Amino acid sequence: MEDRNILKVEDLNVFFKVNGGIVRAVENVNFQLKDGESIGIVGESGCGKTTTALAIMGMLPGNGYVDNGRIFFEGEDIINKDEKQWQRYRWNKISMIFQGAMNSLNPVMKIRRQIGEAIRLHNPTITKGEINARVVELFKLVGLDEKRINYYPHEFSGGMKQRVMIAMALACNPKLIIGDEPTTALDLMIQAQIIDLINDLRRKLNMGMIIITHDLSIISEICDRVAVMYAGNIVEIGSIEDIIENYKHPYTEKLIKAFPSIYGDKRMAESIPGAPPNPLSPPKGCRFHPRCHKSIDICKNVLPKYTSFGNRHFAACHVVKGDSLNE
Amino acid sequence: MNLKYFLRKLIQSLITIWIVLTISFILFRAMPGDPVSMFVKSDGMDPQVAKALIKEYGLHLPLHSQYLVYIKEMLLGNFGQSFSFQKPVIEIIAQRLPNTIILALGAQIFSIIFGILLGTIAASNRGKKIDVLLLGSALFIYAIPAFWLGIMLLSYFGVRLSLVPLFGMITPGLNHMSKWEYFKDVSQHLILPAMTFGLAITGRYAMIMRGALLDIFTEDYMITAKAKGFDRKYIIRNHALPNAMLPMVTVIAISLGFVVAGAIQTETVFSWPGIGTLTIKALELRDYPLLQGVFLIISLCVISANFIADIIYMYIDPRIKYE
Amino acid sequence: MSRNRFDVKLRNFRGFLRLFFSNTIGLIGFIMLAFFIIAAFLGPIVYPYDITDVAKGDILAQPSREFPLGTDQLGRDLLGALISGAKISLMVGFMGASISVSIGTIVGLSAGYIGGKVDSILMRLTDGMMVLPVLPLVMVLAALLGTSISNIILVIGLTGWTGTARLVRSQTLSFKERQFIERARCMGANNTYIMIKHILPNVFPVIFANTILVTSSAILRETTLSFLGLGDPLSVSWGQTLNGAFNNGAVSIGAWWYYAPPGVCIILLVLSFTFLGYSFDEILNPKLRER
Repeated sequence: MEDRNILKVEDLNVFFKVNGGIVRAVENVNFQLKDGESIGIVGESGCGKTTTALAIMGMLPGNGYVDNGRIFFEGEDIINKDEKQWQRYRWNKISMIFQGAMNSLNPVMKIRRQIGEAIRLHNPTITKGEINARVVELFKLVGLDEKRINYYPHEFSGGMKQRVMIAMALACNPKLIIGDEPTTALDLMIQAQIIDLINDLRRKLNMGMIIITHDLSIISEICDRVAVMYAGNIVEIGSIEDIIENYKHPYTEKLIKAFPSIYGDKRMAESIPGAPPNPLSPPKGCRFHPRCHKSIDICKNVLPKYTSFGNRHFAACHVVKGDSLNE
Repeated sequence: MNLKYFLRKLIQSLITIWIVLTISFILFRAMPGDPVSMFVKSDGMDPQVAKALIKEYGLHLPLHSQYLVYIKEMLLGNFGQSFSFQKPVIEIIAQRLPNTIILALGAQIFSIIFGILLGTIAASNRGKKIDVLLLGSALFIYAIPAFWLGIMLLSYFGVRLSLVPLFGMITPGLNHMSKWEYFKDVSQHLILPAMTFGLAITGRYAMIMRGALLDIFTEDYMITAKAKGFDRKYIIRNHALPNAMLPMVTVIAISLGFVVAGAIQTETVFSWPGIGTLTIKALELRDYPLLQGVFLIISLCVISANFIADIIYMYIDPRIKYE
Repeated sequence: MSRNRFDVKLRNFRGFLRLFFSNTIGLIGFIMLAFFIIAAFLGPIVYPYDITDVAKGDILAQPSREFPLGTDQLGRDLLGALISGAKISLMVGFMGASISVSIGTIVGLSAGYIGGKVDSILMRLTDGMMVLPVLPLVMVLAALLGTSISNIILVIGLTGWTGTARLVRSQTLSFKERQFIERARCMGANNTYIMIKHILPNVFPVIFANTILVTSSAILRETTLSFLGLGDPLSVSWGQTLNGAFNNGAVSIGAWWYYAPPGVCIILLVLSFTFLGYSFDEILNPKLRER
């Protein structure tokens, strides 16, 4: 069971040193990803989704550091790699699709070179002809016209740029792809096309995938499992069906109700009262308690532990409790 | 090649040339007590000569006709006769211009290379000691008047150490046997002026390069490059530098006026026989046709260099080429 | 109401001063500038000097007790010349900059606020001026107008406004569409009123920081002009002194006391403005603080 995990994140804490002190951006985050599985991380902006992804890529900004925890990739602890080792592992094993492909592509470099340079870096013996063939193959794979490999980024539309970005992420056959808001900047029709493309590729290539977004509907279309993050903590994690239909945590409940349903009744989407906590001084106890409609006294002082609801579905809440975890 | 962009830049340059011609006309002709009519009316002027001059400059015509005659003459490259040299202005300038171009080109190449290099080093080590040191030196150099820097270098390397010749472009009285000897002599004379001139602009370019790079370091495609597994050196060289060159080309073009100012000062200090010393001479001798010619030629050079920079920009920024 | 407003302004100003004086670079700049201002105003009283004084000492004498910075080719005292130069540099700097900044502000405000044809004409003019090599233009102007100190100030002022105009225009554009401007327009305020009463106060901090930089380039320009022989022969500026040193062979005989001190003073004065400008920029422009 254990060895089939391609990614396992254990008790991860990521902190940032800032002028006013230390921001606890990610705290006590645990999740696992099986081979070929895809997980969505959902939450409001600033909840630590992107920071978690950057920690997995070893790309935290200068003032950020992993305070505690381990990250296993294919059974190997990668957290203490040095920069040279990280460089060999990035893109080759784990690649990333960034939000806003518009700015994530170098404006003065032809696409063929931008994809090709990554292929060459991780396959030093490859010939130029082989690189070109691979770029053409990738273009076909993501549904782009192979004649356009020598174009510059600004000659592609927004949706096409995102396809370019996906082709680039696939360049070295990574085991895992992280998508950071992969469809956010696109209009709805294009969004649907990109989602179809991702699903199609996932079936063909059998890679693991982490999708980071604030939009639950995207996760429900692409992912097998969902982790709901709030203020640096994962408050609930489970299969997509369990989370949407059988959610436990009050924050998950609010989050789901905040999205209008196309099929459901005509009702106003609910908003979540209050604002996310100040990252410099998060509230004691459960971080969601000041905004929670179900909070009780204990929530104010004690951080809740995860309890299990079966089928790898866990939530951390004092009010809604499942079976305690026997560790 | 983007024809529309090319034409737009061409028209802009032509308009600027027209502005320069008009300013020059106003200064030299239209202002009350303008130098040309003053000269014609001056005492001891041979009436025959005065008549010829009046005809040549069209002074008997109304001002707007004078303006048209003037524009026509200028466009034909007829800048008139120098009072003091008794030669056509254009000839004198043609003789001097190459010397200034040698000096300016030498200094420009030096400072572009070092400016880009030092700016890149500063930006890549932002906030560290070397950055503070480079930034501080750049600010310091910016505060030094170019001519004073020249004087100090001259007094130390020329006078005290006698390492280099003190003035001019070639050693007077020396018979240059071969091209190589001539080249050697000019090079020796060129070192200090080029250094003075180059240092003054290097600081400026380094500061701008640093700023451009710091902006680019925050761009998303820099993160993409890092995620691909490249090291910092590769990312700076292959992703940041090509993008930083775009603002640099613009800045180099805009600071050409600054280059001219530097040339005039440097030439004065080192008695370099170029356009700068010619300007000073024309001013001292109150040789107005020459002064006007020099002013127009300098402006024309700067405007053309600007235009060339715009065209280079078109080639290095793919977004313009295919627009 | 007006009293209230004054309080707010005063508090802002105090906050500004507190920020300013906690900024080391700004403080150094301030002390350096204060030194030159004091020297310029008190110097002539403590240490009288008259350019028309005939030679008192030896020709090109080394620094001595009687002449702390030596003498020039006519045997005149050089320390006195240096002190007198401070006043001229500061005067040219401030007055030249006021002219430049005023023109630049008017052009920038009108172009940015009125927009349309006015904008494109003014900006083409500004671009044209920007491309023009300023030093030859200034030299020609100075030669034609005559080299009195007021003409030099005028010429420097008239040619140094392009940067300010571009800056003020871009700032004006960013304020133009704000709500309080719309509101003033709806209430029937005319363009001039809105520009002066509503936009100018908002753009002012940027203009202020810009003025400092314009001042230092005006000072450098006067020095250069005087060195090239286009200065006012009757006012002893640093550039004028350097012109005298250069043309009278001080360099070839190594009379460093003649040509070194004025240059050092120019550098220090310009640096003091650079430092002040840098720290004001940092205070007024929060985006820069991350740099």
